[in-house]
Amino acid sequence: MVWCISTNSNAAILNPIWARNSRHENFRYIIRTIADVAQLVEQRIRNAKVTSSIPVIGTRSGPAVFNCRPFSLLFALTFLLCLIPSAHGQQISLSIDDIGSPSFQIRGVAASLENDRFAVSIEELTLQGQTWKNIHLSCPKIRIEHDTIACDQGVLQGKQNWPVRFSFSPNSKKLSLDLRPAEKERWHIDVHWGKHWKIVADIENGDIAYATPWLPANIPTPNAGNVSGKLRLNGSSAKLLSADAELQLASLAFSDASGLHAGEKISVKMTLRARQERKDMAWQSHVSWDQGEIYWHPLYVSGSGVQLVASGHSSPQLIELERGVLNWPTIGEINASAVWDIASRQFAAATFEGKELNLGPLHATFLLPFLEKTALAKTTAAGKVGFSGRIASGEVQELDLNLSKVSLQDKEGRFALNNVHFTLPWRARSASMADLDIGGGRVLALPIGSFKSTIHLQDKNISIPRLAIPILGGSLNIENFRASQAATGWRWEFEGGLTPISMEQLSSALHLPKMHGTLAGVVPRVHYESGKLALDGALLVKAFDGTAVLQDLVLLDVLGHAPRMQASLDMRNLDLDLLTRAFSFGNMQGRIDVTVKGLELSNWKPVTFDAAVRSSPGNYPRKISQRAVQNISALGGAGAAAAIQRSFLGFFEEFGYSRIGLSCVLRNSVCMMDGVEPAPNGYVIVKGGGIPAITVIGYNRSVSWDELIARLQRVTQGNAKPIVQ
Amino acid sequence: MKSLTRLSSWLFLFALWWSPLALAAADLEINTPAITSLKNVMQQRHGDLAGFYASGAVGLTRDGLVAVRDPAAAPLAQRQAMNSLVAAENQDRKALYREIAHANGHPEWEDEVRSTFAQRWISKAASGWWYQNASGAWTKK
Repeated sequence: MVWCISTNSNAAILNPIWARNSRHENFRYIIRTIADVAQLVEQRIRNAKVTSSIPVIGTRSGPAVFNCRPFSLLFALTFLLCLIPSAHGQQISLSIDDIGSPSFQIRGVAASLENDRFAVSIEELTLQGQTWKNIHLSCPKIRIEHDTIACDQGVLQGKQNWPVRFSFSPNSKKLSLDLRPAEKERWHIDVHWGKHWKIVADIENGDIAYATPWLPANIPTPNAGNVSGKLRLNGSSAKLLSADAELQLASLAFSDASGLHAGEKISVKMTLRARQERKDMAWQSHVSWDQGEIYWHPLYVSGSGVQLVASGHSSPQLIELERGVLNWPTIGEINASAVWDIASRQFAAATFEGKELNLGPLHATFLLPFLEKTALAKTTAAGKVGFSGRIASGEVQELDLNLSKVSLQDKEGRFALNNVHFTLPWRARSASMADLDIGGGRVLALPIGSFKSTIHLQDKNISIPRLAIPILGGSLNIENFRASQAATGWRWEFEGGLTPISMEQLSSALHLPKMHGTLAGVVPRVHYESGKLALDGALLVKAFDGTAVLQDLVLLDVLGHAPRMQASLDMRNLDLDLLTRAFSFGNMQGRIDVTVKGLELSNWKPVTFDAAVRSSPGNYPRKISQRAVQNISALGGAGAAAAIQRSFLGFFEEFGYSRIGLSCVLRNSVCMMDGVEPAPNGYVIVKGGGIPAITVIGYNRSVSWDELIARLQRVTQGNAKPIVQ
Repeated sequence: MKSLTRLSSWLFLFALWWSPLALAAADLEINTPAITSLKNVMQQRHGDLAGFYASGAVGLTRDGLVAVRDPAAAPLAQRQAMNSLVAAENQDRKALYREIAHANGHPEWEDEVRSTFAQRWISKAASGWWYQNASGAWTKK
């Protein structure tokens, strides 16, 4: 027979019948419990069917079947309960095609009770977007005591079989669930419901993977780890009133699909205490990261004793961090407060502050990964740093940075700065000035002295009106330095000059042959953009009592492994005496001009140029020593010869000359050489003049560049053994 | 008009003939101080990268560079170094192609040099390494 009921208004009338049938209370109790659950969910129920092998009073003999659409399950079950005279040896089953609500969906529910054996199966359960299929709960011996249905040896079957104990008291509105998915794993959950509800979870070595479905989809997924501790939630209706948690995460591992955000072997202890205060939830939290490692591209950090203490308020619109203290043992303490706007996903307001932080580990862990393509990519730092800042509407409004007693060293020895003090008060949309004070340091092998400067900042533009860096008794002056951030990266420009520095100190610092005199120069506008550094004008340097002009300078890939430089060089009136003394060449007196056109250096080695050395025009003493003659001859290689007036060789250390000239056109590692004028089978390098005079002739026109360099090195080392005619 | 069309066709055919010939003339083994320096640095770095190639964490791209293919294939503590190595390798590879084109006296050949090298890297890759095929899909050699 089929009953179809669309109202539950008769429930009150049926209750007296229920009260009268007390003998088979257990069976009725089960039914009523299911009815209570149905009332709890009191949502959309489709195609519910209750069958009973019990003959229903007042009808024909035979089992009762209720199959209704739409259906009030509560009423049907209550009705069935009232009609059952005896449950002994009987069976009742319930099937529901679909139960749905805004928060969950259950499909294919089948529950049965036969004597003491209870079983329920769900084909598909969808909760907050997560779906579980084919869930079976069976209990071989269900225990019913007054208000409680309990099972001590149940089994929850999913992908694995989990031993389960539960105790369900619908009148008292209590559910106690105890799951033991693994040997040392235990999830004990107590639920009290009603107007005020409470959930208490006690977890021992709970597999963190069970939490995965509940996490937001856009964060890295835990793939290993376990959780232990206690979680307590209190609420009223749909409102959470308080939450307390004391949890320990151990051996936690997580990763996103790209592997760029991942952690391994993480141990974390955390406590949370949250209370409803008016419309907000007030909370305090303490997190202690004891061990493990995290790679959050491009940062890699390993935790050992990192502590975070935070407290604040949360509402559906805002998360307010009133006070946050991050303590990183190797770095120091950072304090912060913030208001996070949930709708706009940005900080409506925030402040942060760190005092006396250790720059060394801060630099190595948090700064270097962002300096990959800069000159600071291979640096170590030490000293103290402090900072504070303010964010409003998602943008940094103020940033104060303070470096104290900082040293910075390039691991490849290109530069070092010592005792750096820096104070930066940066303000958005207004100009600010930073003070820089450097105690000293070095660039390559050149020591630099202490200097101070003021740096002007406006948004992302930096300018330094004047900077004087003491170097070797002189000063490198940088003027009108301006840097700004473009789409292609930082670009900067400056101009300046070099006040006379000691050549002796310079040559000593660079481990070059000892030079005399001073070096000074004017630096035209230098600008850098997209890895290209160029000079707008000519770089004028005074050296060896003459002038050198470097122009058309372009530098590419300066910090890479294949730096390329293009330039032209024009040197006038260099004093040969100073020059030859510097390079142990053998003394020469006179003046020379050097022109190098189309100079191209690759990895700082010349690959192309048209170079010529010529005697400068004008009247000046022209003398060449015997040793210099021998060395010049040696440059010509094995075939070179010096035509020397032999009769005078033994008597004179110096000879006269009228002109000197040597040129080299470098192409494909070969130097095509020429002199001041042609000679039979060669070219004249030194043309004799005066008494005693000397003429040096070169015969090799084509010399390998490497061989020429080797010869120069031999000559300057004083090992030359020329062939003298 | 007809002669103009004819001239255009002739120029097009000439361009087709000239392009591969021009590239064929490029000396990929040419040496300059920069190329030597780059080769040395890349050779040293290869020792560090080889493990990442073998594990599939890093693969060879079809445009002659390298890319992080599967970061999860590298131990966590090495992922930062791996990304740095890949960035440095790509910087040097780009410089190498530029230098070779430059050393050949034809800076405009850089793209062709890169393309030729891309094929060469892939053909010389060890078995088990990953590379991008012509359509950009990762393929195990």
